[in-house]
Amino acid sequence: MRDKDTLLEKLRPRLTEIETWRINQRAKGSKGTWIGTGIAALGGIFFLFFPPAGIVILIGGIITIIIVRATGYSKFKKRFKNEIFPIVIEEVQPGVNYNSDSHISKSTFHASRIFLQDVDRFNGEDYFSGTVGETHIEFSEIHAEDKQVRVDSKGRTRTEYVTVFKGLFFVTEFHKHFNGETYVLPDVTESWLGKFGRKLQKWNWSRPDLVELENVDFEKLFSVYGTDQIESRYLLTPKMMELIMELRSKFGCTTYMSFLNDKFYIALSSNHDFFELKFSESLMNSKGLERLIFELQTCFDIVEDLQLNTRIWSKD
Amino acid sequence: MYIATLSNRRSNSTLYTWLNFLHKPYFHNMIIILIFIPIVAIWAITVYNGLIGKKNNAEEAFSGIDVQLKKRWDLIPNLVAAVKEFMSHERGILEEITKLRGQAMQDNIGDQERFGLENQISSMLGKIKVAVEAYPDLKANNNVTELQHSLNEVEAQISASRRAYNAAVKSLNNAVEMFPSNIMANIMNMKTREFFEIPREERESVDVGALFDK
Repeated sequence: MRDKDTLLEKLRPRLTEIETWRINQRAKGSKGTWIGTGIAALGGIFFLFFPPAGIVILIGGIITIIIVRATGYSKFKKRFKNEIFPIVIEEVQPGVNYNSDSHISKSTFHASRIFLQDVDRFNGEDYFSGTVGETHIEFSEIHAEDKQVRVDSKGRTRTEYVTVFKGLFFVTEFHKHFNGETYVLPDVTESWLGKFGRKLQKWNWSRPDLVELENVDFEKLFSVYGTDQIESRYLLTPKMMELIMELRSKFGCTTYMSFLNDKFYIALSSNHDFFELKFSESLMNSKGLERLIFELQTCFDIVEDLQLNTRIWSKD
Repeated sequence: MYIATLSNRRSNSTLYTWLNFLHKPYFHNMIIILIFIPIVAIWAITVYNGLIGKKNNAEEAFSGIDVQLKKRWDLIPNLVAAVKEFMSHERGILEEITKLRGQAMQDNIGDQERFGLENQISSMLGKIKVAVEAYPDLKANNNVTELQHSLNEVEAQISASRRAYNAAVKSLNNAVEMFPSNIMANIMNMKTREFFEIPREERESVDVGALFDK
């Protein structure tokens, strides 16, 4: 990427224009919020004399506030993602395709076999796809949820959506050939139960055989399962284990990985909303944009961090 | 108390005979035996199968190393042929590696001796890799680059096979030495196995890519 200041300078005319528009939108939003608050207050007064009408007016006021605020943010988000973000992306990683409304498909998510639960609601945004060096990479934010219907003691059914995964999901090439399946999953049992936990890992029937690796720190963080003990070690060299641990601490997220069907999948679990600017924050204050550039750069750096451009084996 | 009452009332009844039988010492022993034998049998079968499984895993991993080492044998003559015209100063290394390969391929050689020779071959290949850097013509030669990639591939596979073998041996040795599975291992006359010594340069996880970037 070129100098950050150069980028900010390049964006300045557009930023100034959108900033003026943002301030207007915020003012409109404040006006709408005041009107909504007034309606709600009126509802409160009505409630004292005629409760049913009071409640209706109160709810009407609250809905007005919500709609006004959400509309303002959604318009801002659209303008920012369509007019500013593409310029930032072109600077950070030229030649990358971006679609703010698209995401990694549900079939790709399932193909990774990282999460074996049912997924009934699948959303996402900010889809990137392109080539870094010699390695193709695509990623997006994903929120996958499982619908669970519960019946309480009185026989009432309650439907709720339980998050299976929320965060960044990457699909990339791996620089080595492989035929089997290898899964690198967060180790819950060993970190809680120590050696006994490791014994429990062997009884995970939904996964292939446990692969016990020699890096003690890596073993504390991850459980590795593979269909071929040698191939899993071929992929997870001592160096690769170090790089994976560094990547995990860089993002500070629970990290899942799988190697199968010639693809390398990485899922970084996080509740953080990536690639967003705050509606309340001035665009002329470069902090928000700097954070955005950093997030973007960190995501594309995965290729270099894991040394996926190293082509010294038989795969071209 | 209950039995005493019964014996007074119906001394000849079947029920009495049965209850009386329950109080005989040999019946207690029989119960213990009937419970104990299946438990011991299940334990023995599980441990026996576990040990056999671990032994087979170690053998499979060992043959994995062998397969990769043989693949490397096939690549060495091609590499030597490709570089010898350029590498006039390193003829000694090329002759040495050819000789070592010939010795390692002999049928009558023991495993330990053979793997010692293989480690020497690894070291010689490392020297050739470094030497290639001094010859721009060689670095630019597609055939040599391709051969180097194939060799790197085989070396990575050898390293993975060795690590898999050592993991399998660790699991086997633990079972052979730890109580109570060591009892079954003794009965089966099963012995611990030697770990595969991984050469220092492999343990230090050399960034081979750096050699090409120079």
